Amino acid sequence: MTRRHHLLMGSGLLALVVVIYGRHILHAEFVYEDGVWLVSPGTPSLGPRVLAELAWWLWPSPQAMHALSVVLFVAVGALVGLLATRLGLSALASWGARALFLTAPVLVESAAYAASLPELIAAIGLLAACLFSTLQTRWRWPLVALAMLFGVGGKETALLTVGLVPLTLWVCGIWPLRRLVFFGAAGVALGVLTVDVPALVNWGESGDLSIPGRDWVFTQGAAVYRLVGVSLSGTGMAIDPDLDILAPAVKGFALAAVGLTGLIALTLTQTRPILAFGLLWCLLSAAPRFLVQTPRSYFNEHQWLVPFIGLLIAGVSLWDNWQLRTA
Amino acid sequence: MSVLGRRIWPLVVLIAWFTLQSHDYVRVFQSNQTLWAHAVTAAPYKPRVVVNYGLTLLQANQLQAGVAQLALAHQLAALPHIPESDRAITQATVEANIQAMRQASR
Repeated sequence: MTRRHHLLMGSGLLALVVVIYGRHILHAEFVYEDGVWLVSPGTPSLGPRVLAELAWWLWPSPQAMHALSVVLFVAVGALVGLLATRLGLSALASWGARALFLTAPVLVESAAYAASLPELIAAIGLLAACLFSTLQTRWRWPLVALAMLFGVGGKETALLTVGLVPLTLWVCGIWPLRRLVFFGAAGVALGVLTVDVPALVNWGESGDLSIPGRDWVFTQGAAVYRLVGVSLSGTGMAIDPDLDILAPAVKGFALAAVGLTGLIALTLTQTRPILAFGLLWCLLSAAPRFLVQTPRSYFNEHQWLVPFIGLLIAGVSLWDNWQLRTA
Repeated sequence: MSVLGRRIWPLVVLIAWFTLQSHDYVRVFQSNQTLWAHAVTAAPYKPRVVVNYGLTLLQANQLQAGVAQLALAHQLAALPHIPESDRAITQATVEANIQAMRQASR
């Protein structure tokens, strides 16, 4: 692909973003939990989410916040394309990844709902950290740390860097698989030894909002299953889907399907490493939501931003493999 | 087209489908009323969604429709599959709003 092709693809994608979100930026109001950010920020204080607080403090108008959200969303899309290229996908597949990311209906909530801004900042930090980790420079680890810090300035989601950077290093051939396995096993062992799951599920919740750990995990399994379906079909989006109505057997099936996907991903590490990487990225970044409850809200679409990137990489790698094999 | 090749078409079709769906769905985020009107169609048996829709109708001065949604949410909250915390919060929210309206109308 020539420079002209890249320019054309980039311009075309920006035009699509304007078609989808242009009117929204100009005319949409604040909705739902935007109000919480509007009334609570005060002066931003140093700590997690400081960058999100700063944005709300500086530009508390719907147009400014929606424009900023869409700009950050485009930045995340650009980084997803860079990651796809770094993983070894073709230039066309990398543009495909950018295009599918920027047009994905399941991510409309991330771009159009101003309260999702922290998640976008976290995704930028996290993706930048993964890309920095593959650089051949002695500054790569300080850069990774800085990028993670930037991400945490949006939301704690950026702490996922700790798991996703080793995964990226493995798939790029910088770390051997045995080091990744050791790292993963050590992480799981540490988690099992130190984390009290039922307590963590209700961490920070008042007694009225507590939920049994088992119910939470099963319903989150159904939520992930639903989000995968919405991601693939581009239909069925909802700000607050009804998962309580599902029968326990359905939730159990969904949770088993999520677990099975993880096992399949592990079996693909040798034969289809990029596909395995995508699926493991998706599951790894979804995993903390099985432990930490968000008040009365199951895994929703704006929290799906980072896991979706893995699913997207997996899907695009399948397409790239097919188009290169049959060309 | 030689750069893209024929195998690009599945991707192009998917991107076109996604664009149409996103263009359609982004309108839902126009205002609280459009958001909760859509949410109610997606989750008609979820009390929180129905309460929020009812409250946006009240804020838009559509009192009769708003009260009807709050009454519906109160009924839905009594369904057995609703988690206890959601039931309590829904019923308390509905009762507080109905009481506030009664006091305002005196």
